[in-house]
Amino acid sequence: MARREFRSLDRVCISVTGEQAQRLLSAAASSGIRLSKIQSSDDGYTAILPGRDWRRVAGLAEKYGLRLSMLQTEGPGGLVAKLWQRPGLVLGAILFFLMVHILSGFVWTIDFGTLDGEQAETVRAFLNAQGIREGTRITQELLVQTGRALEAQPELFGWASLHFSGGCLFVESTPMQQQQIRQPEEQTALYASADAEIVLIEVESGFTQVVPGQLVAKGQLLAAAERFDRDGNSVLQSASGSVLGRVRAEYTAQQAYEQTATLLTGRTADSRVLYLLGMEFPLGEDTEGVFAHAAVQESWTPLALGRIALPGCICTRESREQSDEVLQYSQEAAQAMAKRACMQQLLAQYPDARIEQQSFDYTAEPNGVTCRASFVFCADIAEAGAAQPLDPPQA
Amino acid sequence: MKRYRPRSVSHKKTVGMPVKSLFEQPSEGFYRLPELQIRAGCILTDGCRRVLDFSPEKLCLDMGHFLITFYGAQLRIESLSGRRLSVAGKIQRIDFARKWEGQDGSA
Repeated sequence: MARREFRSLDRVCISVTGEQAQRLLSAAASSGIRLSKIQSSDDGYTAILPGRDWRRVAGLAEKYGLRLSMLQTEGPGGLVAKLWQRPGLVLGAILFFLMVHILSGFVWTIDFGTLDGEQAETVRAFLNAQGIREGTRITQELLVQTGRALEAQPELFGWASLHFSGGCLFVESTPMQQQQIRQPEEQTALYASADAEIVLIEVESGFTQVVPGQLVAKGQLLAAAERFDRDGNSVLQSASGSVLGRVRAEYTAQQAYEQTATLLTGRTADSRVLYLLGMEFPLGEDTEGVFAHAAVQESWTPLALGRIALPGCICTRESREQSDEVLQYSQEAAQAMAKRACMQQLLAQYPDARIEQQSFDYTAEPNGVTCRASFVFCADIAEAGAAQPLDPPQA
Repeated sequence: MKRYRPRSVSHKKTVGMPVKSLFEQPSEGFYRLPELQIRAGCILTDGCRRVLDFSPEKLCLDMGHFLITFYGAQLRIESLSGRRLSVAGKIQRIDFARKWEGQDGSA
């Protein structure tokens, strides 16, 4: 419908009364006002005119001293007529709400909450494996399925949940807390894990059998789980805690001059994929399979226009070629690596070791270096074991 | 302004007419005559300057040099825009009169 015709739909039925009311007809017609359905009445006439001409007709009636009254109005009204004159406003509003309704079903941004950078990357990789990323259209089924799969990852969080609202995917989680549950029915005692000199006793339960400064042998009882009262009755209490002892230990490690290792060659290949509104657009060539052995690292960059997030992201897949090569170590480097291996052996056995003295003896061989390390350190030497029944006291 | 297409004049009619008459001026006031058209039960006029009288039985129009009066029943002005006016109703008689010389005729 043309704009002009639409405005003519807004009509007003008027009644004109007074002396020589027909004068208004000629004046209105010469003013460009279109009158229609003009019917004579007792003291005047009635006519229909477009609503937009109402004010001009009222002015003419006042000029000629006629009485003008509005009998009936019909049509869409002035506001609708104005809107119709600018259909872009109506179409824009309809398009806006339509786009909001449709686009709110896509993931615009992912809020990882209190997760730090590494955890966020882990969760992002997990969500990507489930098919959720910026630009994905979220369905209730997909959300529930991914939420359950995320809860089934006990090594990540203590509790985790996904919540999707208004284009934002919230990852709610609580950090994992490990709690050891002691088995009260097992009677354990503490034994020395190495020959040592007792430095500090921090036994939480049980009955201590040693004193600081005492020399103990490997396997010697440090804290018992049983003792006898004055009447000779057995009192049971499982032993726990730590006993700090000064230990002298030696470790040996060997490092060859030649060693085969997997190294980066320096050649890289990147491939980018644009995920937008549930669609996938590869940017450039796919580099998967270009290198026989490669270390692959994926990173996601959410699309944003300034501070406004967009429903899409770019996944960058960086492949770094690797190859097995033979490394040649100098004698100094081999000695350092052998020394490091000895230290690793010590810390693997006693993670809380505080080294007081250390000495290293290197032996050069044709194929490598042997390091013999001697440490004097303080560490927890208490080792839990099954409690052995004590001999009852002599009467 | 209306454009009139030159009508083809038949050879039979022009045979007896003197050539001189083809170049004569039309009668005085020829182009000032009122024009009426009947369209879909309405009479359409072009050139109405004023509505002098309006009642269900009589409608008098000022057409410049002429006055046209419609007589009948249930007369109404179907539309009035500029100088175009259409009359509807039961028209029984139309009177034509020169504006300054009194009544001239009726149809």
